[in-house]
Amino acid sequence: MNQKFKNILIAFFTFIGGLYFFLEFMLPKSIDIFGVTDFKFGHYHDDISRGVQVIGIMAIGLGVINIIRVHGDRVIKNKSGSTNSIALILGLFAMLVIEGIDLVQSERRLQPRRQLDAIVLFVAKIDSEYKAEHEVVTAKTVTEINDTAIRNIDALVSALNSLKENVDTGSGYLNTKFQNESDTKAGDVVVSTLSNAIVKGDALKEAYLQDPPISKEAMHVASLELIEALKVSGNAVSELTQINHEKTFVKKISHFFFEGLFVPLGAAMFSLLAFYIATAAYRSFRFRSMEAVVMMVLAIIVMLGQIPHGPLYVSPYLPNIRDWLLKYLNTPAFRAIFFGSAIAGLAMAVRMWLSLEKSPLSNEYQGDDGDCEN
Amino acid sequence: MIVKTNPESDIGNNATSLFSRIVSAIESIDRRIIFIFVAVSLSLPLVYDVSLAPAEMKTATSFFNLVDALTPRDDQIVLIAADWGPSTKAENQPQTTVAIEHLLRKRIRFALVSNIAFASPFLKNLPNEVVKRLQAENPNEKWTYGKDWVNLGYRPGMSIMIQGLAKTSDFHAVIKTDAFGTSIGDIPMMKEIKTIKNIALLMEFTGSTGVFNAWLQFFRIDDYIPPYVHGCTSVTIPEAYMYFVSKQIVGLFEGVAGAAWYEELLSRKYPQRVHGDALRFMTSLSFAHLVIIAFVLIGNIGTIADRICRCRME
Repeated sequence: MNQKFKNILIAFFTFIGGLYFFLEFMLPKSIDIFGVTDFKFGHYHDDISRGVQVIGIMAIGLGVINIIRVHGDRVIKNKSGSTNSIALILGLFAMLVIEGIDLVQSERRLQPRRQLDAIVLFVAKIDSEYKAEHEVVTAKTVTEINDTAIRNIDALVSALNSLKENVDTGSGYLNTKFQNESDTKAGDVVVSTLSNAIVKGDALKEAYLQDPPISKEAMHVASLELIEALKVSGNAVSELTQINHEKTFVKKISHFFFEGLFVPLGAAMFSLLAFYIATAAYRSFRFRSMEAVVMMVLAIIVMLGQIPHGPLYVSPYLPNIRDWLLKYLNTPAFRAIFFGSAIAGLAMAVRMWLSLEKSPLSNEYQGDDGDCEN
Repeated sequence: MIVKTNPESDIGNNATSLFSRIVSAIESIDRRIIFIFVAVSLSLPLVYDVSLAPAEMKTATSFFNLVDALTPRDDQIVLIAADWGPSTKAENQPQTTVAIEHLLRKRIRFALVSNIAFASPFLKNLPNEVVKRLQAENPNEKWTYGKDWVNLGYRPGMSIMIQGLAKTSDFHAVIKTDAFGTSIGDIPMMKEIKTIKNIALLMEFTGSTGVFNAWLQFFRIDDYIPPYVHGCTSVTIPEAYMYFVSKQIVGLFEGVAGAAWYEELLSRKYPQRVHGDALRFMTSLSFAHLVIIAFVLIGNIGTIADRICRCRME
């Protein structure tokens, strides 16, 4: 595609995107326009926002590909730092594999709960059909309605029995066999709530079998009781499957990688700042000029004001002095800096919106031979 | 040729030379020595579990008073945005923990959410740890997930997600499930929570400035802005403080010092409670502060002495 056309296309979509979000933020929620009342400019905002997130997700692939390119090149050509690159690539793939498997297992874990949620919708549907179709009925129609409902209830009770058997036989994430004492309770709760739901299902079926049929309202109450029992079962099943999911080998490895390695390493990396700040303070806070002296004295007052030793051993007024310094010296200065940076940011945003900023990838930025030029 | 030397002058020169060497050593202490002192001052209080009464923080007192004034209601929750990860865990975790403890003690329901993916395990574990501690302290009381708190998990999209939450007329449509896959409608405490007007208070804990600003800018509608309290790291205190002065945030944890003072206030209200991490971390940090101040003063003594030396030699 011609570079000039690419640039025009990018500039066009950048402008449209920026214009949309600007107008969506500034315009009232609903406006009257050209005779159309209650026009909502942001009617599809949620869907557009989700689209923006989808585009952002593509960065995952981009990031992984770039890492493999840059560090893979270093490893293959045995350049300096190749050992670190090997560690990075191995860590990347290890986490990708483990977390990918964990994601799949998480989805499987949710299956029994989703099954129960589907049954809840099923019961609600049976109930609504019963109410709707009983408006105009003949004796034959009532029988047909009841037969259909009874078949449906039989199916859902059968599904509940099957779930209960999975718990008893130790199948998949409903396994209760190898749980410790505290977790056994979760399994017992699942069994009892499922049993209760089965009883409610049978009660609903009995209601349909009654001759003469019970009132619509009584049928509705029976349906609601079953739905409530199913929701309670659903919560119990969620808890049990979560407990079992935590015990899987992959989850334990995932915990090890994250809580055993990533968290301590991440905390350690940031904690190094404490040591560098100490040496930086030692080297920079010197009597070189009046401004440096003022800064040093105020820094020491602020530090002493927020530790126990300041009020205890130096002066009880130190926290108040510290607050005064932050409120009347720091705040105006920071506000001034923020105003300046905000205006600069606004100017930069307008330039990017109007595509006035040169892209490093554009031909105008690079020379004809593809090298970057100033 | 015999060179005559003056013994007195030699002694004077030796003394001056020794003084110069001392001054030079003080003025440029090897950074490794500073590292060792900082490491020892940070670790010893933690090892020996030393706790000192924290300095008073008015910003944390405002935070405490605001939470203490809340009452449990079925149609209101507190939204806690734990936008931090392992890197700022040392400061933000004690802040989040102490805030959660206060809410649980008062039976104020809250929902946890995060814009940072790395926060997910903390969102799951922190309330459970606090509940365990509270139940050990109060064996007759019970706190249950779904009734006292809910974990909404990591939500991508930053400002877009925040705007979506603020503008929606139905939370259940935006946040369909909690972090464990349970439908929001099935969670007892979320049944009546539909819009931003059901958020009694927004608590945001982060070490990143961009996230804090996003909540401040976008979590609001024309006729309702929830009260906003913030927990920041020490590095971002100067920036967060200006929002406290302008009352855009009504409570602030100034690093772990704020959390330590909050713990002190909690201990005054609930004398039977056991001290948490905030106080221990702040005590440890205090000794490190003193070490840094000491080295700054030592360095300046060296600088002044060096100037005196040069003046004399001139």
